[in-house]
Amino acid sequence: MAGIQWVNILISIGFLTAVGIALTLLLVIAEKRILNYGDCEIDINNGKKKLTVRGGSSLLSTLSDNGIFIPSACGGRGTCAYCKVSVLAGGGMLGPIERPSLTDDEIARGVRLSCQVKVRSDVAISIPDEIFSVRRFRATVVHKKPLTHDILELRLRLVEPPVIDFTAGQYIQLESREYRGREAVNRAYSMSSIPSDAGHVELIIRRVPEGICTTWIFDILQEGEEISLSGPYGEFRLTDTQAPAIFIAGGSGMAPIWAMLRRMREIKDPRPAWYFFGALTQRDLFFVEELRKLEGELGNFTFIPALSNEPPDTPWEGERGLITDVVRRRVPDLPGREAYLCGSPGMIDACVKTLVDLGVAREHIYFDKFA
Amino acid sequence: MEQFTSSIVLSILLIFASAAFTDNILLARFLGMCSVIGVSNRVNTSLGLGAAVIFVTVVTTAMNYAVYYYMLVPLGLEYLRLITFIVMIAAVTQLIEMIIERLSEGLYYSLGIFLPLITVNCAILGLSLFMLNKPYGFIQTLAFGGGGGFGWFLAIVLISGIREKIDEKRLPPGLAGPGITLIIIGIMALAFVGFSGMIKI
Amino acid sequence: MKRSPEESEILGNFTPSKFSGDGFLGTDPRTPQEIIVEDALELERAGIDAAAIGNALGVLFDRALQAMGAMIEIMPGVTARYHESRGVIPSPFRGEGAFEKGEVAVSGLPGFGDVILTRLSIHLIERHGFFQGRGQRYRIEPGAALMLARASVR
Repeated sequence: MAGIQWVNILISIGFLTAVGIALTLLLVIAEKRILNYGDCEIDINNGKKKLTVRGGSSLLSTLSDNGIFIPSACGGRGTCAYCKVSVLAGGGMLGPIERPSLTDDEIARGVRLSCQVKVRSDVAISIPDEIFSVRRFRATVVHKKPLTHDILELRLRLVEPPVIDFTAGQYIQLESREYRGREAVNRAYSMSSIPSDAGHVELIIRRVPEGICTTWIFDILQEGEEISLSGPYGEFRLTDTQAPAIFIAGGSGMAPIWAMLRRMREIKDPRPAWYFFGALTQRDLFFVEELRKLEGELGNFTFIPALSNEPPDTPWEGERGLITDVVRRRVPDLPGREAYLCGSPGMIDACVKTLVDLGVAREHIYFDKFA
Repeated sequence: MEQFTSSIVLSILLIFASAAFTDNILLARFLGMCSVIGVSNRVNTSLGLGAAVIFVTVVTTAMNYAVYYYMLVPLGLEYLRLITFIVMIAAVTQLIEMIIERLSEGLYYSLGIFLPLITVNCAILGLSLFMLNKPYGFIQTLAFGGGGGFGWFLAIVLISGIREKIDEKRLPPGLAGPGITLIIIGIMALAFVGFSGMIKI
Repeated sequence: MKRSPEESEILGNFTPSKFSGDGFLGTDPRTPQEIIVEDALELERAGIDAAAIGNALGVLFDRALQAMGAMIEIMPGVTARYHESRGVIPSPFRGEGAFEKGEVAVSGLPGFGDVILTRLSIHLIERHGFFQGRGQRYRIEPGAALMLARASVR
């Protein structure tokens, strides 16, 4: 009796194991045969660079595995829309996740979210040339210097690679770490350091209430700690024309302007320049002495701070009012003016409108929209 | 010979019809309701899920038939049918998901998320188990599986059509969602009771 | 109750993520649907629907935006000020795109004190009647929203 039961048990265990193994093998083989996309070629910028890769992963991760870093903030989930890439061929169908992040015009031009495009066959894409020089860096924090009650200057020393090659006006993506139950995130900050200081990166950062990254930078990050970043990104830069330049920025928006102005000092750029610094009250101003000093050092530079919320009875001698009103009052009436703006989309739109009203050509207005 | 084939065809049609209407797996047997309650708020998604379910029921009833009669019975392991069927269903669902992903991106996008849901659909396991109680051959089992799947498809599409037309804001707050869905299913089940006894298979 | 993968994913979007430190539910134990339904009852008693409120709040937001950080008075004793912030935040309802960051801080609202408006929170009210969970910064009590909406149409 006992002997027969043992045989039964062994048979049933053996059968189930066999079925389990057979099905697993079936699925593994099926996956290899069905979802195997083989080797695919990615053609970048019309032959400028060609990659041969294993198909099956997203365009974003495939490119990043090959040293080409498309910006991304959400880690490939399709929610941040930072990773837009122009796909000329081979991108497959437009997915439902991508659709809401793209305008009709972008879709017509073949723009896709690279984190949602799967590489299943040969693909041809077009990316801004700057992306080729994007690298990931490890750096250590040299100092965290408070500039106002809610703005600090972060200076980093690059460890690996030890130098960064960028032009004044570009930005980097900083990687915060997990803390207090909040996830690690990527956030963009413009570089305020100058390109010749290639071993360092300086950032001007304003605390965002309950912001995941800025809270980490202000409250948790210590001097001497290691931090990761990638860059340089962005097409915001000074032109070579040496035409009269109007700079408008406030708060952390000053970062790329600060880089541009100090670069102008370094190469003795002779163009006449005006910097309109919009702030709420006196306690929101910073770098005031340095900027006044620049007035003497640069051939033809005028620094115009403007306060929009300063109480009327204080001894402030400078401009008061909305930045657009101050610009209207004080902007020089010279031919061929160029403008460089950095700030929120609302501020930029208002300033662009004002400048165009004042006769500045729309195509000579350059900006880094905080978007 | 003609009579033979025509009687087979007739029996297949009858089996299909009984599985789809008089013995509707959702409305007469009340299986597979969880997916319906969760997913039936839009007709488009219901169409996609229903189509995938039909596909899976046909393939799994056929494969389970083969495994039961040619492996489990000879080895005397009928008592393992439950776990074997479940494992087969899971594997088949996974396979079908891979095939669809490869063959048609469009279909994968519209079905994609719902394919893994099918594995836990009790209607599929139910059909495989009910098949064992019937004296069917292989072709008839296919008709049974296809009919059962089609019946489920019909039910979920009808329910979602009704739900889309209902303005949930006018319901008492507690009834929105699962509450009203169950009531709809109940009323439809009453209607399908009218079919009972029509086909005796 | 079993949730479809779609619902689980949406619920996942409401909890803390890479874009929202406290998530959209805060310390509220209710699900988004429960919050929407309960807040909707309050709106029904007042006789205005969420879409109209969202619209009016949007008008208010734009007014504060135009002041570019300067304080504006929306009604006697109640001020609003816009704070800019770089970047975008995606809607927790998949497929609705991402919204500019930046908030309008309203102070001195009788009975409610400080209220924060963002483009995303206004969109959630307008489109879904979702005022967000209690215990986090961006919840707008329906009563406060009603008061602000009435002020904005003056």
